[in-house]
Amino acid sequence: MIDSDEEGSPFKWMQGVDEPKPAFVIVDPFVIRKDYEIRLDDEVLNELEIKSPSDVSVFCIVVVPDDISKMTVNLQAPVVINCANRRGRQLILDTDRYGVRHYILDELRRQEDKADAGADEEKGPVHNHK
Amino acid sequence: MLVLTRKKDQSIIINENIEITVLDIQGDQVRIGIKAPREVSVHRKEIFLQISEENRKAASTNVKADLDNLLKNSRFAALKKADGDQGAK
Repeated sequence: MIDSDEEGSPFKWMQGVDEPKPAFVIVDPFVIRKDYEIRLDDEVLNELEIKSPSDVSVFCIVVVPDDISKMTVNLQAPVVINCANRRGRQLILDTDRYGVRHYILDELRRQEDKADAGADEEKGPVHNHK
Repeated sequence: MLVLTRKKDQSIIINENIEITVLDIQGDQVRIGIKAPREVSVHRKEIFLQISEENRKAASTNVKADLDNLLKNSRFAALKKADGDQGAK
């Protein structure tokens, strides 16, 4: 069962239908890393009976410490859910690209910096050869 | 813990359907090959422990009020905009 905390929030809660605890804060990883990429092998596709990519939802688990600005997300072990049959599981990605602890605010700041850099290039007419 | 000594290219069979083979030994590194049915998960222990630990920490989060505050932070207002631009994957 996944609840949205607020309208339009990228953060949601994940908790069991039968047992309210444990409850996990989860987030859409593509909001944290636009180029987040995972590959689902046949074993996972079969286990979750995935028939179509559009049925797949991916969430990553967030750890929120007392100092909220240090919240981290586990990009190495996403939770993959087949919305068509509500089956899901946590995958451990076999990759060096992601770790179990990414500081969310740092990742967002990095995105903003990238966006700003892009914007500057477009501003000056001298640089705009398009 | 059952302790067995193997030489290079020797194997161990577990549960009649899992085979562990010592492929190569170089100094203090051992290359290990694992043959197992697809439904059997195999992971480096330190990764497995890291993930268990992160899951445990995540489960002890108790921050409903704080998350609401988080959203009032302007940085996350920018997130709402980004969310609208994102494709499904």
